[in-house]
Amino acid sequence: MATTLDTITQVLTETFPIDAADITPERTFDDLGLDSLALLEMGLAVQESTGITLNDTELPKTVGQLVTLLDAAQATTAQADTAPVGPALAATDNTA
Amino acid sequence: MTRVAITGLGIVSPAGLDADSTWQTLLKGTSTARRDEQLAGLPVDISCQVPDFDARRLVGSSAWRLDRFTAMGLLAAREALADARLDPRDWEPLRVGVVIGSGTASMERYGREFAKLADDRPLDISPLAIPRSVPNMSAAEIGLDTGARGPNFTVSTACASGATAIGVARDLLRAGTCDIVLAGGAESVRHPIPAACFHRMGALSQRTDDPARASRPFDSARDGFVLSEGAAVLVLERSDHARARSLRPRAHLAGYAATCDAHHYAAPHPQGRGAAEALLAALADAALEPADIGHVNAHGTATSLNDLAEARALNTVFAAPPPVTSLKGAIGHAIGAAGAIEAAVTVLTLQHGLIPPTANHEDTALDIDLDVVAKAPRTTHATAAISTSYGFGGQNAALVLTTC
Repeated sequence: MATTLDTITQVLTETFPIDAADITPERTFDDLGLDSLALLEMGLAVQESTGITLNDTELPKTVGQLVTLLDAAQATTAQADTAPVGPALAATDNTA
Repeated sequence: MTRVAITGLGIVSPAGLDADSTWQTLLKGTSTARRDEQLAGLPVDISCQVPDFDARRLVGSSAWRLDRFTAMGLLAAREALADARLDPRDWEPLRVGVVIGSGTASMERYGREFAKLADDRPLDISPLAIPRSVPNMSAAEIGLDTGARGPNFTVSTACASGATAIGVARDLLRAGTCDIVLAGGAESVRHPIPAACFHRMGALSQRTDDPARASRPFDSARDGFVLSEGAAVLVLERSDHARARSLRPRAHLAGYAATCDAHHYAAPHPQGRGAAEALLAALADAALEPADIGHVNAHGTATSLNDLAEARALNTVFAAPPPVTSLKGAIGHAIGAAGAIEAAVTVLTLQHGLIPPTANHEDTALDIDLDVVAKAPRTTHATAAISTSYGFGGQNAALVLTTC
């Protein structure tokens, strides 16, 4: 079963000119060459892949932080279908 | 007066991903039109498509943020720079301009993002939708890629945009503003929005059951153009600047003129008044007589109105018009890129001494009095040729190209 890091790696390599080998939990998105607009684009790509909406104003700075956020959101979804979890998450309702 | 040399060119077209493959395909005189899955379900579902255009593979690291027309323009610009043996590390960046013509913008992007609005998902709009889609981005991305930091802008004169861009670039050189200008056009209108709109205007060929025979410039059975896409970029350079680099130009841009029909928002003047005026003014600009011109690379869209008006314009200017070809039989109508592709191919025509045939031209319409090159390439000894482009809105451009 694919891990969250696998999913993120797939999204990043399909959307941006980033090599999978460069994607580690410690890497910042800035290191990977994503500027602020690209980071928002990454959020949309993650949403499309996972159904989880990231909060535009509190996007994670590192790959590891993104893994944590997505794992928390998935855990919450598994427990209940409602409340958002984590400062940078807003469930799947992007109008929140 | 400053002479303007053409020291490099690049072409991305349905006939090939570079200038050489495009040229070889055009010499065959066959059409590239075929069914287009992107247009499935529309009354007209055919187009000419740039083959195997994988932007990520061809353009590289910036491809992710480029919409199709911008990526094609960038690829053409890189080819043109390499062809001109220009290394951006050696040039004076503020003296290098970029002028690109686009008749529309990224229809593909607008369609995709508008669909999200219609679905009540405004927060799903790509944050890069504007920088990806606006028409000026093709020129801007070439500046970004090459480090050219002089004047950088897009011109839009509908189907004449690519030719107008080359003419405006010429003005930057003559005015002494630039030493080098990358000039051309980039466009992709293979999208349901322009396809449906042009169809409703009655501009498209409806020969959807036989795509390869749909675009028939100057032919008695013509019934409209075929949507296309592509890009071409010329390196225009002050002649003395090219000489200082010991570079032999491919050709010279000896004359340019632009006029407006001021007649109708879409239809050309029926006698080709504005087109003829552009031809005459471009000849005067080049200090040439009509008899000096050995070939015309026509606009030749294959619409009923354009081809007739264009033929009348040529007969107004020339006592006996020189051999004419239209590339749109082979590669359709790439709107803002068309004039640039045609100018680039006219340069190749002068260099190779061969006029590519007009694909699908079998029977010249009775009311069109032109010597249309068809079936096979024709040898030419022309030392001067004209490439013409005419846009909706009556915007006309003519480029006079010479071998020396």
